[in-house]
Amino acid sequence: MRENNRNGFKWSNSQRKITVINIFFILCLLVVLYRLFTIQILDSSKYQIAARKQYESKILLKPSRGIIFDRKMNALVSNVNMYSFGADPNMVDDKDSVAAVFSRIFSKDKNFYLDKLNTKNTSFVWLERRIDPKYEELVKDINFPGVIKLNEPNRISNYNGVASQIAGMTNIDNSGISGVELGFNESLSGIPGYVIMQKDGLGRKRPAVEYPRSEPVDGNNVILTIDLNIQKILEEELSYAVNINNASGGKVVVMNVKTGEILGMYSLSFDGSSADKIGVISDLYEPGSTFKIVTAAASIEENLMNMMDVINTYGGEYMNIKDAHRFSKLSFRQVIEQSSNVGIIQIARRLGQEKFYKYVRDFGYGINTGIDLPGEMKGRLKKPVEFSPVSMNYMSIGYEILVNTMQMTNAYACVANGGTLMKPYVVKKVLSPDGKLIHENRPTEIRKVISPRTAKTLTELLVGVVERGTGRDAKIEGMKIAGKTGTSQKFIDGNYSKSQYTSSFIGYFPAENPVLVISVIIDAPSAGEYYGGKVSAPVFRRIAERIINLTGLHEYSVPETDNLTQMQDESIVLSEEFINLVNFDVEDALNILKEKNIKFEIEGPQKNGIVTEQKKLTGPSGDSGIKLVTSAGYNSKDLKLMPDFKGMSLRKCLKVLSSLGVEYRVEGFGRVIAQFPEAGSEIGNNTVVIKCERK
Amino acid sequence: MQTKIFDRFNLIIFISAVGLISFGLIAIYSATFNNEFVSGNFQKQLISALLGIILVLFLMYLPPKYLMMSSYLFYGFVILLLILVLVIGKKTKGQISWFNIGGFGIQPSEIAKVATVMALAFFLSNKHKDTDISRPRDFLYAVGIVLIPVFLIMLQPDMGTALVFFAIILPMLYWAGLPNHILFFILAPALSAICGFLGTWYFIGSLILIVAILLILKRKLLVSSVLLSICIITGLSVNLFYSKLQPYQQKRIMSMFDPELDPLGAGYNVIQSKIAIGSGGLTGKGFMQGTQTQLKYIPEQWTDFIFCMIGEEFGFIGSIFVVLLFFLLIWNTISTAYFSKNSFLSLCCIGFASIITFHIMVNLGMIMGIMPVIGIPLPFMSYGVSFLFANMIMLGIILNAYRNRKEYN
Repeated sequence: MRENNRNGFKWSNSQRKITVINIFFILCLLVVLYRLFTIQILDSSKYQIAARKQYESKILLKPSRGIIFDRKMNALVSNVNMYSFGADPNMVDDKDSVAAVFSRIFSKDKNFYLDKLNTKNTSFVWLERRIDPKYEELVKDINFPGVIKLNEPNRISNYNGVASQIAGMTNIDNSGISGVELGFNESLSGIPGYVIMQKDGLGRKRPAVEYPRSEPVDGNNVILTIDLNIQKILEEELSYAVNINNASGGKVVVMNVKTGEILGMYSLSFDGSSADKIGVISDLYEPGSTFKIVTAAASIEENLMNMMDVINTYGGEYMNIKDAHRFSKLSFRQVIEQSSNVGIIQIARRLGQEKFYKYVRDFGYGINTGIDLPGEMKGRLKKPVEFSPVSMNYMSIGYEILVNTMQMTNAYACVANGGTLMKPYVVKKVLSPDGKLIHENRPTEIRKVISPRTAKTLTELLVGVVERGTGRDAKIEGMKIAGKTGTSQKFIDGNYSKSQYTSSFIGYFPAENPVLVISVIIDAPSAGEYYGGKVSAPVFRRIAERIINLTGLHEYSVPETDNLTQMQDESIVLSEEFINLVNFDVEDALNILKEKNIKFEIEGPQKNGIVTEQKKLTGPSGDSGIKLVTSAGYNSKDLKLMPDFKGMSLRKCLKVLSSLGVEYRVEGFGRVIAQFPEAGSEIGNNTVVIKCERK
Repeated sequence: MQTKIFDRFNLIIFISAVGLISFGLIAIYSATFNNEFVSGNFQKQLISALLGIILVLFLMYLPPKYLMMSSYLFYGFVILLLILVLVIGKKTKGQISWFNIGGFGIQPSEIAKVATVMALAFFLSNKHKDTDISRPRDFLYAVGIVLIPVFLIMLQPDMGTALVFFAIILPMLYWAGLPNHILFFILAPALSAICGFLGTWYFIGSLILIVAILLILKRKLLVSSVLLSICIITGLSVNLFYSKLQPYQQKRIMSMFDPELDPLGAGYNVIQSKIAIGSGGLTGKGFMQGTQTQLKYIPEQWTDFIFCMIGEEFGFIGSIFVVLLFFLLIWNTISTAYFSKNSFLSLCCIGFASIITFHIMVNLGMIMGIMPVIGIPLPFMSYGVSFLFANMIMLGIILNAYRNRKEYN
């Protein structure tokens, strides 16, 4: 008989069975709990990151790029707004007609757009970037779902591209790729803002309300040491000189010898390298005779030479090195004036290798000048242990050493500056969009290379070069100029060329109290003349003359007792052309005036306002001051009312516009004849349009 | 009086179930809120739940004999529906599993689970026929009751749901008195098949285990060696079968176990569900704040992947709470089975507890990446009218069993 229980089915061991079932059930739940614990507690952060990566997509809000000004606040490079078209391929319904419209307007193949619109796995493609303004009228009405019209700021070089080599270039994404644009890219770029968009599982985006929106911070404005007018002269004169000499290129630099500020520099090259390369710092060459000042300076500093000491020049030929004009004996002065190779070699031999090397190095050769631009090449300076028996002979006359033009210029500036080597720089100040000083480059002494006495003696020798020697073509009536010519054979394919020369002239003036140094290098002149004294010295003269005629030199010359930088600042404030406190925050403007001890009056609030107008005051006793008209309630960031620009010079207009931080577009040149929006109306998000006409 | 009510009504089971349904409604609300195509799902589920509770109460108060009498009828009706669905059903995603009656999609396979449990319970508890499960004929009858709906469901084809039936038959037969060795004889080939698939060492390990248990059970040598041979053959043939598959077929099978192998295809849902649950952390992101849920990273998450929303928006704490509710529900169901003097209701309880447990295991295992992705919804929580009604019938009968646990059948 089967052991049936009361129910009729085996019940005898149900206690054991229920335990088995319960254990099995609990085990199942424990597995689930364990798994939950690992995923939600132990590995949670991993999954949180995965989730965030998946659903968050950041859309950058582009800041407006900083403006590059010259030293007198002329906007060399500013922004214009251009339209670009993008599309979200997932959202475009009628791809065919979108492509058709674009292909009609831009005269491109329809498939060009169709291919873009059919891109898979993306939510954004560019259709057209930075369209030519001539199309603006045509694209005005483009409105398709999924097609996005974007304002893209674009860089524009003003003043016909003067100084654009120094300012540099940006790529299509508005990021600097050369020059100041590259060197100060971070500062100019500003800080992009962002909106966090949520992306859903179907690839669609929507703004996430709960995330903070971060507004972009506009880029800082960069003020260069470059003077627009000087730069213009350099560019014109170098182009002219390269042209008439049928040269392969050339370089010019103008530097303030007291401060190291570069007032202008330009290089041309027809050897196929790109136009935005700053050849002055990146091209290396063997300098030739201009390098002789190093030996000369060293020998004077070491008391080895007096001006009248006579040197045996061996009839103008010594150890295979020949002089252009052969003499058997020359005084030290004549050695320099006549640029005698043999003579200089004799002097260098008296110095000895170690001392010779020390002076070359101290003048800044073989190392970067430290200029605040990217792309400097430091050249090549042999160490004494690397010298061959004839190395010093050649080096003393400017061979077997590679230098850049900036190093040469700076060495001359050092002599002109009484023997103190300064650090060259092109960026004077960096200002925040609302005008606050972020960074200021002040003149920086690198080292004292020679004594002022030596510098003075050497200057006298160099004056002789221009007065009586090889540099006579650099002479200017009424201005004492110190300078040195150089003519070096180019080293081509392992040999010194007999037909290609580097012709140079470097000089500074006024010799009594030097202010500016100008270097002129002409590469491979092939129109007959090739001596530095014949090719480059005249270029130097024309440039110097034009600079002197421009404003005089008082702007750069500094009384020796005064603080250099302060003078520079004052020159800005005191020269009517560039005192401009308009649009400064009132507090900033007051600080500047107080610092400069300028008398002033204020009409309007003294806090939380902006300078709207500036007037010149003449006091009862004839002393001058400034009257500021201020207006309250807003700072320059919030100022959204359109000023009246009509009749204003474009330069001034741009200055105001850039300080307002609005997008603007300029048509034409000259004085403003029309504007949009009208004066006094709100700017809002409009792009300000300025129309100009030359009178 | 108070005690009398609760003596007849298991509040814990009822509250747990209502809690789970409510959680499910919250989850469905959140998961469908931003989706215009399915925003009606919440209302549908809510109405179904309210109607379902009436059904629960009705079933609870129904005298057990009516339930028993209607078991075969119900079973037969469901079999008819399963045949009907193959003829007139709608095809979605390659399966013909449901048809439309008055705007509601009816999925007979969900009801079939319940009906099969009831029919099997009725068969096993039939006093008059003196059923004895250890008798081969009765055993085959029992297996047949389960295999008929399984066969019909596999024709749809819906392998996941068909699997559920295998999960219910063993505990019920065990509960009904199936001897251990027969139970083992059924389980052993399945074990060797799985291990044969997993790899050589697993396979050898499983064979050693089977031999060891055979030694303990001390059955006849012939029987034991036949079983062992069957195990070896199944294990090897699974391996052989797998190696004969095309690489893409192998990949599909492997990605059921390892979603990373096919992150954009078969593995996508699992990766997404793990991200959703994992990113919820301890406390979750808050109701309606779950990024993965709200941004629709998990396709159709109001059905099989509903737990993702709980895990993401209510975190580990919320998940534990849901698991706790399931635990209370099932634990009390098993207890009811134990205490019930009515063998039909007792077997029903075991069958229903098995269905629910299997669903939880496979569903949660699937969304947490430890089980292959097969379409198994989460009881009481996943959206689906048929499924919810099936769950409600189970709940009603469990409560009925509790109410009548002291009465013999």
